[in-house]
Amino acid sequence: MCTAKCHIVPPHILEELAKRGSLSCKRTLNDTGRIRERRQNALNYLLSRAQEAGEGKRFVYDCKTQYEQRVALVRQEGEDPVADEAANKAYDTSGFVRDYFRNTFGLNSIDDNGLDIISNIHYGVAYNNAYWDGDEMTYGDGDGREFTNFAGAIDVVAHELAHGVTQFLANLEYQSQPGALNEHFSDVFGTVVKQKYLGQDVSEADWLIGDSVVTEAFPGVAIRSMKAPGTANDFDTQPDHMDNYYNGTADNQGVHINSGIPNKAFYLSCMEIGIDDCALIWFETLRALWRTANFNDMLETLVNTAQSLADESRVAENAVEAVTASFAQVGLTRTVV
Amino acid sequence: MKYKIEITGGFTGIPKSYEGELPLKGAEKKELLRTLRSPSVGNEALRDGQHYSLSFEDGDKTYAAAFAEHSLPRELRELIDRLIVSG
Ligand SMILES: [Zn+2]
Repeated sequence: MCTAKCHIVPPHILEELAKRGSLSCKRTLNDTGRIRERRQNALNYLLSRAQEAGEGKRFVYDCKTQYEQRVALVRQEGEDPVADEAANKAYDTSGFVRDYFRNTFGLNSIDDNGLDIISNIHYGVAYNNAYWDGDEMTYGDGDGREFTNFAGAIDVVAHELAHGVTQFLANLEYQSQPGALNEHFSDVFGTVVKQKYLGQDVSEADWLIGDSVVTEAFPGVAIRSMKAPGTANDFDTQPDHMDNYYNGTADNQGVHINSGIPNKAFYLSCMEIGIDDCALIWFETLRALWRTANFNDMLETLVNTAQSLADESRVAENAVEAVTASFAQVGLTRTVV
Repeated sequence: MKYKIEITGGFTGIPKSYEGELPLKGAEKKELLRTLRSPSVGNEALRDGQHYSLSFEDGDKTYAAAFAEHSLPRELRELIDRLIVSG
């Protein structure tokens, strides 16, 4: 148990302790100001009582093409479908993602404490984006020329919601390798949930991210490909090997670019031991990672997690070999054995 | 004034760049330059937010500013929409 002492320990020591498996120091390291504030408020308010868990209810707001969130509530948990199909789609897909995490990993909504799931749709004018802002999700309708409604795509919704899960489990900082891992985890659960939603297995899945938000006029088939990073469209510069690692400063030092490397390793691992075993290994790894974890830390934690799960017969016996071999194929090998 | 708008980051990660001519009268130009000086306050928890870089060339002077998703002033949002969405 980490006591208040953790708060005066310098971050680099907390990081070392987190690497050695101290969950409490990891938690301290990961805490954002907002979470600390919430905890402090809860402590002040409830003192010894545990913070009450929420119910992970869904709320869908129509932004009415303004650049404002929560303009008009159009549907909430338990209500019948409404006339706006985009609202129904956001409601259904966010529910599917929430239920996947709950039924598969026992996660109580995004924060494992029943956080309400808030979706903002019809954000802005021809807005070609979807984002997670720390509390809720926001989706544009797309410009209709190259992109279409982002709230209607199961992998986009799962990707954004997974950013929330990552925030509360590992809070990977959004730059360089930790940022690329942040993006990677969102693509991992984006593609896992998409395959579940479509009832596909790994051999029939397309392993594309965002294929349903691009139009026919868009020069490509999707935003990203986990099977073949760098091939999804004419602008796709994702590497699939450390030899082509992006060292530039754009995109927060390539968070959407270098994620191609672990994405490819995830695909290769799934082809060896199946997507359910990989999803469990990756989820438990996310629980164990910390704010500044890099690609080597990721691999080390994945291997340790796979070993523990294999020892408990919860994943395939050859999980460690499969993960190790997959990462070796993208140029990442263990530095500590 | 010549303008250049660059939008990067976001879920798609696909950078977009727009250039053109923006005819502005004195008061409009003054208002634009005032808005460009708005502070860009980041949201640390934002994931997949876009980044906006704007620059305007007025004779031999260049005015430039960059904003994160949550700090782009409404006036500049509307200007971008006018220039790149409405054409
Ligand atoms: Zn993302």
